Amino acid sequence: MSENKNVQLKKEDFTVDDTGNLVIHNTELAKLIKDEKINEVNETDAHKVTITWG
Amino acid sequence: MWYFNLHFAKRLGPKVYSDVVSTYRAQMLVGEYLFAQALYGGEPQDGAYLDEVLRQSGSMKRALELSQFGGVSELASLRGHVEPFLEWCMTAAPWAEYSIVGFTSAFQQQLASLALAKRLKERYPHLFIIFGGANVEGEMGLATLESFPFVDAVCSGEGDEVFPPFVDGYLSTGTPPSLQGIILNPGRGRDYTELPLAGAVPHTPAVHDLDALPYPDYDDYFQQLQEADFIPTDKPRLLIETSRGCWWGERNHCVFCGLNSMTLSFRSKSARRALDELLYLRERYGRHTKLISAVDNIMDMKYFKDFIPALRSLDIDVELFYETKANLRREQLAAMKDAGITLIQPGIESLDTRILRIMRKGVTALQNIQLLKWCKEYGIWPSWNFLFGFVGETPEQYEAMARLVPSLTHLPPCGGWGQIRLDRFSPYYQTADQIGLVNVRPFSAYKYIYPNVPAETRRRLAYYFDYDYIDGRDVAGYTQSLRAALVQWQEAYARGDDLFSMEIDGVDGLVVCDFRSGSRPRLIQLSAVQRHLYEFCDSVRSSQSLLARFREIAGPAAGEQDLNAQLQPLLDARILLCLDDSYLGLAIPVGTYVPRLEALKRLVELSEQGQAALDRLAPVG
Repeated sequence: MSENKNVQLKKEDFTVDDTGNLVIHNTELAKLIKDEKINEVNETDAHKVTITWG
Repeated sequence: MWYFNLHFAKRLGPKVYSDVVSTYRAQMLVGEYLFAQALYGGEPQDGAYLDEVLRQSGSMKRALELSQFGGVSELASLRGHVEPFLEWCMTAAPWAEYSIVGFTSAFQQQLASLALAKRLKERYPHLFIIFGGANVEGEMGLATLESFPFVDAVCSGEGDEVFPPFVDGYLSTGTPPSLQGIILNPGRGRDYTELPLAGAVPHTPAVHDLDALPYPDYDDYFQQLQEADFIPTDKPRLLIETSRGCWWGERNHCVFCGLNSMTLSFRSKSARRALDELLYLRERYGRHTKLISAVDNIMDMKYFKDFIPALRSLDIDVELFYETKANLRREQLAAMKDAGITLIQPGIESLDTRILRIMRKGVTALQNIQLLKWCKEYGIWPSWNFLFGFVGETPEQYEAMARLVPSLTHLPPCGGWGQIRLDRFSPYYQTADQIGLVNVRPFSAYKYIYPNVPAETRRRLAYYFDYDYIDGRDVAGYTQSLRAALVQWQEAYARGDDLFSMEIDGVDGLVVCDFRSGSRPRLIQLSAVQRHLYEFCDSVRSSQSLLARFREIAGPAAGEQDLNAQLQPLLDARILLCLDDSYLGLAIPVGTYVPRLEALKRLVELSEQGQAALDRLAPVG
């Protein structure tokens, strides 16, 4: 992973499947979240990803 | 400038020193008591002192147990550092070369200062010893002069404009000049001035032009911090002062606030000066820290027009702290964050509007909650406390707040709570007998801090006071549920509780993701109409304005019943709050706000487990 990586989440990254269940399309980001590789608020760990939501 | 406290902190160790300064040990005035024997001699009264202060407060006793307070043995251990420290102080500075020694004394610095002053006077009788700072304001200063003859003078009030001419006058003539607010000790045997009567203490003139003051000089501090080879528990902060007094207190003095004494009138530096000073501090001391704390009691609201935009345009890397009022608008918080103001103390104090009214806070409960929500959205940390024990509050109000708390666990919790203390100069202290507070008496610890003075003198030396309620109310009893709820709030927030709203592709309306401890993890779908109403309630809305908004959406024939049918499911889901006939949405919209990692993890897990079904909140009725 490159340092200081920013990932922008959009509403298109989410849909609802036939059963009414929320689906997250951005699987790479979902894995980063599960692996706790996300910067929290005011955190700037260069080895983590910073999410923006647009 | 000598910062001897750094050396005492090093001797105690940063953690212990921090405990003495800022935890329950501070309420016991341990930092003062430790120096009593050094000042008065005799045997320590540790057992009696502990019995007395712990009898004062059951909650303090429990807190000390939790913090593994070592009791008499801990006090003895800490006191073991006092004499070596004072002896070191006596050799650290070239005292014999000085003519005047000034002590600036606030919080728990009085007895340590007096103990050193006494030694200095004994060894160097030529020294003129003067005290300034909050601990000698008004009557406290007079009582200090009466009780401690080695103190030659006190400066009561702001010393900026009187202390320099005082020093010049003394050094040029060898005689202390007569200046308003600098009160000489008649005990020196010289007829400089008569000790004023209590209640008529001459204060120094308040500084009106703050721009004319010099920049602070922290060179000695950082040099001595380095020499002391001491690493504090908290990062060093540069202190900046951009105003004095309180513009809110001038009109409505919060009943518990004893700050500012007789100089409540608000004065502030110009934006240009404040900015220049901040840049100067950052340039000169920025290598030590990027944390800058404004010591102001309250931020000047006109700074939103000049200082904050200017700071924002400079885009410099600082983290600023300010005390503010709690009824800030969303755009004001956004501007503060962009300017680097990431820590605030908004004086929230309670989540009941009627109690806030008793306090004269000038905000409502929903405005307080709104502030917490927006702070979280913008990444600003609000430091706040819960205060209990106001005359006129009811047990029912505390039960209601305890029921409210589980809806708020995604918002920044209070750092602490407690029954109000009577501080000298506060409206409650000054009007205690009129509002039903009786048996007003100095904190019991003062008996051991000022043991050899008449009770009346001790009262004049004290700043903190205990009291009883004339109606015998049981504050500890009726706040028990709320206090338990506040503990749960702190724990839930630390676990990552969250509540946020977002749009989802192909889904009408809005989805609220509820990851609060008091609810099962839940994705709540709001209809298009509910979304309009909910987004309107991002800020506090009266029921009247909400109905008007609803009619814009649903047509002029829509009535209150129709509106309530839309709102009730949101209230039941605890994502919308109604207090005092006003509404506030509790979920934080994603965008500027990015949910916390714990919440995102739960969202991913629910999705992968096929358990992220959307709950539609259909209108009721």
